[in-house]
Amino acid sequence: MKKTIYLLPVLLSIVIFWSSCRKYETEPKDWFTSQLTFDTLDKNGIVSGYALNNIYTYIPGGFNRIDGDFLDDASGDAIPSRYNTTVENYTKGTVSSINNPDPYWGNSYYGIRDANVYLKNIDKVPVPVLTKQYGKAEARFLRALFYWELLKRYGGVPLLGDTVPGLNDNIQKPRNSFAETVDYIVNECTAIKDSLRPVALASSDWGRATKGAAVALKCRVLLYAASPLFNGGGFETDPVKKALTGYLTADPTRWQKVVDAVLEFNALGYYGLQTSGTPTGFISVFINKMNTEIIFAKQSPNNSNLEISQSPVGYIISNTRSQGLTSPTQNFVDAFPMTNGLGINESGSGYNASSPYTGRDPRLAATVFYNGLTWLSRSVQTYQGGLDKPDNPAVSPVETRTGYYLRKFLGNFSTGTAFSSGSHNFPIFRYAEIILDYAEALNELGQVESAVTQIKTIRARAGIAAGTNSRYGIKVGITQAEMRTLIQNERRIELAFEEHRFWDMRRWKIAGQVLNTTLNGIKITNGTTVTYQIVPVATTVFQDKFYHMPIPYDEITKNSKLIQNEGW
Amino acid sequence: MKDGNCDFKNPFSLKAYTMKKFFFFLFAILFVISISSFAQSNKVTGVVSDSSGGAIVGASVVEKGLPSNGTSTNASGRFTITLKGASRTLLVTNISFEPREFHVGNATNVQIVLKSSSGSLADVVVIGYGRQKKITLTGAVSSVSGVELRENPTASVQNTLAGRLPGFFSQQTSGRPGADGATFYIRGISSYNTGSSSPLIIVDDIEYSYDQFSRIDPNEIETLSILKDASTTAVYGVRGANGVVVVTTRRGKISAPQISFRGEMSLQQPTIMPHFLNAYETALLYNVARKNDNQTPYFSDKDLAGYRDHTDPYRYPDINWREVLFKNFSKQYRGNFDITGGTEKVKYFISAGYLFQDGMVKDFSSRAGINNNYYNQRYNYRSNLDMKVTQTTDLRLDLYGNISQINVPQIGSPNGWNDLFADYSSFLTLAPFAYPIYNPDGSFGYSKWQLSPGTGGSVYDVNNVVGRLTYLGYTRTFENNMNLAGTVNQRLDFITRGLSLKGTLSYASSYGDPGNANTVSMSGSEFPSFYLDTTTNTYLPRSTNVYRVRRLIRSSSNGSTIRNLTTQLFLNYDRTFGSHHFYGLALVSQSSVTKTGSSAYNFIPNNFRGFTGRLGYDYRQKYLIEFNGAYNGSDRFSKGHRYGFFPAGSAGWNISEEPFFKNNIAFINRFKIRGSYGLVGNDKLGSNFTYYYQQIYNSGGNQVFFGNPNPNAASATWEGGLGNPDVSWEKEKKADVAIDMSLFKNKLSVTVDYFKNNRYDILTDRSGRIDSRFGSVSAVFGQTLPPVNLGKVSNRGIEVELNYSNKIGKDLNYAVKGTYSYAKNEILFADEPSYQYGYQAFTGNSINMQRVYTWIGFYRDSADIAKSAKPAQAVRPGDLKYADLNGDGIIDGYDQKVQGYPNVPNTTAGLQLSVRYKGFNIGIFFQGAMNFNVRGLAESILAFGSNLTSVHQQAWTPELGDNAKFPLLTFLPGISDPRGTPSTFWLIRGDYIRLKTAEIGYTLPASWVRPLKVKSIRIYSNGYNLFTWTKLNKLYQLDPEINQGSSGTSGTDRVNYPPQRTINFGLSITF
Repeated sequence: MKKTIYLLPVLLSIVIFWSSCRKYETEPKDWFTSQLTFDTLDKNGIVSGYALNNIYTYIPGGFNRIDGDFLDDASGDAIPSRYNTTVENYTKGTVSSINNPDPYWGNSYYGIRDANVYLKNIDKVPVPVLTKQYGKAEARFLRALFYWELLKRYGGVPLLGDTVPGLNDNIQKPRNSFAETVDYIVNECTAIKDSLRPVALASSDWGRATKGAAVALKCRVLLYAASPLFNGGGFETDPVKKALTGYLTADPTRWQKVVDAVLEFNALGYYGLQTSGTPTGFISVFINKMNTEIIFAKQSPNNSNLEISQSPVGYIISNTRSQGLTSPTQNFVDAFPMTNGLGINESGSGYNASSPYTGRDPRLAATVFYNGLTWLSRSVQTYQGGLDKPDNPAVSPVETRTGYYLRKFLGNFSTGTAFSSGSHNFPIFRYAEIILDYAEALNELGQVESAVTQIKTIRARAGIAAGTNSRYGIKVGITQAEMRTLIQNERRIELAFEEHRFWDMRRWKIAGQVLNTTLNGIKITNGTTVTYQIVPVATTVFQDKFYHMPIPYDEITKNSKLIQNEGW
Repeated sequence: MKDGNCDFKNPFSLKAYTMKKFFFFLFAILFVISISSFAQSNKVTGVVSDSSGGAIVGASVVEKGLPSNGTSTNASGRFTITLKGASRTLLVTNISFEPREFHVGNATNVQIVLKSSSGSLADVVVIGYGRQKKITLTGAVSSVSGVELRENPTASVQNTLAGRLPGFFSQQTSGRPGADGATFYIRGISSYNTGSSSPLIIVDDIEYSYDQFSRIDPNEIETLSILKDASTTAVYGVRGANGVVVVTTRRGKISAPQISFRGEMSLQQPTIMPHFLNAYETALLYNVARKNDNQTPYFSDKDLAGYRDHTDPYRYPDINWREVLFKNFSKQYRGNFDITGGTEKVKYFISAGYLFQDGMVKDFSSRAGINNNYYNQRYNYRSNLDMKVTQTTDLRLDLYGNISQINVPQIGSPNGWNDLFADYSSFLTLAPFAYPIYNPDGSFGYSKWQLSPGTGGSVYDVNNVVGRLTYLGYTRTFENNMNLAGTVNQRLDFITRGLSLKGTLSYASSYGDPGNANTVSMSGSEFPSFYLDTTTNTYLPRSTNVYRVRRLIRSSSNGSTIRNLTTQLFLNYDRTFGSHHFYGLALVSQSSVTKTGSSAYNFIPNNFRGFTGRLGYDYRQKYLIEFNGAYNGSDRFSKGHRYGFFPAGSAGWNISEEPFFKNNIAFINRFKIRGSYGLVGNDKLGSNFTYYYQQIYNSGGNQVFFGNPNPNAASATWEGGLGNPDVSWEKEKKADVAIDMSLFKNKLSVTVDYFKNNRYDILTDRSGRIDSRFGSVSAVFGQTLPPVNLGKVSNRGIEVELNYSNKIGKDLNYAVKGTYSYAKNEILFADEPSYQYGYQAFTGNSINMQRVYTWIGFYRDSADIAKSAKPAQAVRPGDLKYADLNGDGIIDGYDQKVQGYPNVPNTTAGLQLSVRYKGFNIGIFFQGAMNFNVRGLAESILAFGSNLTSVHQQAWTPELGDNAKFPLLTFLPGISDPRGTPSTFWLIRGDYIRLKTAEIGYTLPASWVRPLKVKSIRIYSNGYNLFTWTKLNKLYQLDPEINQGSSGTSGTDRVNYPPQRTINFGLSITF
């Protein structure tokens, strides 16, 4: 008895230790691993398809992207309605390498790695040839797009090629030059364009990259490369730094490459401007997902978030007050011509300062909420004390600072009493841009009248009257310089709030003039007569170094081979 | 039966019904017990005391030759025994004293003095897997007895420890019933990894979770020790680096059954609760801020007069929400009942405890027929049995656990916070003029102000708070913790004397993992309220579609279970050969923890296995040497990297035992120097690092969208952070040197410890994507890097403990105890990038210090603004001015410097004074902490984010200038906003001193209680957190222990459920 009892603890422990020697499930078995994601037996390629899908998540969104504001709030076209939001760092001159609201550095490289991981592994998966071809081409297209996001911000950046860096790889890589980065993106687009899905997508595939997207990216990159800032016009004094952010010398033939790319695009024969739709072709481009004008867009679920964030603050829908986050400026409103195509300051335009919204380019009403525009069955009231500008934080903490709100991209809610879910895809490439690219390149090559022809198509769709001479307000015998200004203005109003103006001002090297300025709003007094008074609302600052963004401070400190852009 | 009960008149005016039942039960037990002791022949009463006259509680008193006839001394050291045999001799024993045979002779009342087994340092302390005499101890251990802990009426046991144990650092961040346990660290923090600094908790050799620990009933605790240095923690190997808390529970002693009952009733109120300004004062400041922002006043003179004169409380409500919502005092009840005793064969300690801690919200919900107040209800039970199975075999069987229920009201606060205190502190939710609580017709009030509130947006348009408390229901969390531990101890003297073998098996099951709790909630959705339309003078509904109160909806979540199986097999050896004393321990242990609801554990058992050894030797208790080591590991690491060896050595020299010392220095009775050095590990690496060696792909639905016209949500899979097969635990080299002294006939004892810990191999994500403060790898890599063992932190400090006890005259005993602890850590290496400005580096600073602007005053006027460095935003006179550290004329992120103090104090101290005179005892205990920062954000300080306090009345004006206590009042966010621009203005020291506990008690004289057939009755009153003096109140009306987020980068958003001040009344009866 005694002897057996003292063995008890021993026996007990042995049993337990022994039983725990056999192990099942020593690691979680419900987790995805590399093997499961890129499964050598998966003919359907379901999970590898998910891996491809994920690369799309790194495409920047556009709507309210910079801490709730549009990037265009930093372009002089608008200011944020809220005070002291981060996007104003760009216009107040307070951007720095540690204070940049939109570096998109990490995000781009995360996306690039994601694409490379896919490209490295997809060959293991026995999916059908065509699926694999599309998948690889889409991954490469998106990778090129992420490099483009870096290129327009910083100039040349480290190119990783197809490598997926591992723990022991050296990633202290120097920057590639601007020219190398441009060539890389353009060559990638050329290489993959025929492997991508054809331009006519099935409904269920809408949102995937097509051949059209690849050629459109090529057009845009070549356009930027030909533009003054990059085409030898950089302000840098140090040639090493200059080569990182642009070509060392100017070469006008780079415009021809743009023309060639556009011709290649047009040869696809599929895309066209939306000339009809509800209520107009121009509006319907943005609220119908699938149309022949949209080449590539950031896809989003259908909802009414954008209507709530942008509608004037007096609209309260089921207890939710609209936020009116964007305040377009008077400067921007003044850029819209009259219906006859003439600028408001041109003689014979018919502009009447005491009724400033009458007889204007229809795109104005499709882009901006101004006083008196109808929305949800009532007139917008942006006069002092009006429902949409109550001047009372107890009523509405935020309201327009300029007398305008942003209308573009919102659903068709002139009538009705509430918002309903609608499509809000942010256009990344659309056909109107290709036309404008074309017009710009032609004009720079001296083919001014060919450029006029292109602008006429844009103006015709916009609803500008053709005029007796069918020139849509473009004067006869327009010079190249005048045409350049006209194209720049057309681009500003046609592509407003689509993240073009911010970059266009830079590549045209006009930011130094147009962004060292005073931004105005309008103060409307509603009495027996409505009076309009232009009032300054903000001043903006632009220095030469702002032409390129500073590489994030963390990255400079972490990689000694990275050369910071000049001035930062 | 019922009638019979009614005849029973309770002589005590306590809660009659429960007391009746209780006494009925007690008498039944007493009756059974007293049968055996009725043959009264030779009754002897007495007192057992130590050499200084202090009563010895729980000493065992047994009649010689009749081991079954025994008792133990009560709380005042008294005992009563009836002698049955002929020896007339008592054997008196207690753990820290030399056993004594006392011949009673014919006396009936005796005074027995026990001698400490070797001086006053002779106390036995509990260490890892054993006990050791303090005189031969070479490690750093501090302990506190259960008796001391019971002087503190707080509900969570760790709240009793602050300041009592040198080396113990704690912060009680909340007073919410059921969640008021302080977070604590031993010797501060040594790792910048979140979640990896909490000590290991061992109760009766079994690991406890933090939550289990806070739910222990102090009545069950015999002693509590903290193990601090390498020599004492090395036995825990890979889990010992953060220090260890070791608790032993009370066990039966050979004695007649002794039944004790303690009943306590406490009143609780917050230590601090902000006093907000009234409607008139607030409206005045609102207009000031409007004026500052160049806007017209919002409140007209008529409005202001209305608020001031209270002429129309419906149009101009002025509500003191504190009075409306909160009770002056909330109650807490606590009761314990235990039976202890034993014979040679079986000893037992059986206890049951009950705690009910009520919340501070006034009762509104009884109108809806529910109880939605905050509360914590807990039952504890324990049965510790010791059986002598054979002459050499002991069997221990412990069954214990607790059942708890924690209730939290559904508040429906703005921003998804379910916290009444968020509402209370928020100006946008509960301004003093927010709305009248009730309308004249009795319906719930609301207001136009709240329908379109201040500057907050519709998120703050939440319904009437009293209505929400009435109708929105509650969430109730249930927890059931059950533990079973069995131990067999076999003495193997037949192999060699002093050898024994012990096996332990323990199973712990917690139903309701606090991280994934078992809850039931009853939630209401809506109820009508009406606001006064001031233009038409009619009442309109807040929501036009709500006419009635909707029914409550019940929902429940099953929660998950934690299971913990621990097996241990010990071989113990302890023998003295003449002057040589050897002892040793060999241990094999394994534990396996399975959590079901946590993705970090993922249902896979988390296994630890280890071999532990200890080898000690002393020569005449003079020269002491000990080696400890553990070879153990965890299966959370990859094969080949699971096991590590953690050795430690320690030595001591009792100089006072040397003849030259003994003969020459008489006033020092004991003088010991000791030191230890060793290596310990820490495998608590934070939930960010689970299966550290694997690379996992993540997946999720609805990540991307394709398709037209309705986009189809598509799933996505993406590569997760890379794996590191070489990943391992953190390691720490601990060094400790100390002096133990006792002087003046052992009246004064002093212990001074100096320690230096070097933590290394701290897991660090080099890409900085997990903790953005650290990491030097460029984002061009494109992925989160795996954790790598490379961080280094040093932590050094000093601890002092002083004890002085003496007596004046015959009956007056007094004692003073002081502790002081200092532990300062420094990040030596954390893979930071090389900053352009050195002051931006966290390396070289303490863990969790923040990178903030340096506040240097206010911008005085436009001339001052013109000549000073400015930030990006527009600056106005009265804004906070910051130092331009890099001298570029612009205030931006480059001017943020790592400075100030971390969020956890680096110094803490305690002072205990106690006096005992006959049956009376008085004790007061002060605790303080120093060198830590508190930062307030939105609802805790921001003007018009928070409700306004007196500090906002001293906001900057040109007249006040630099005497202002607060920047210019404004609605615009800017450089002075505490949320966006952290600065030394907002980050201030929270140093405090507290009257932590005080106790006064009286043990009724034995002659009074004898007629009641009761051994002793003690009445007492004690208190917790009675007074606080803090530096914090120059800006914040917050409790200084409010925490600010684990990474130290954030601040506190709002008033939490404040820690409570508790005043407690108790009665303890021993039968």
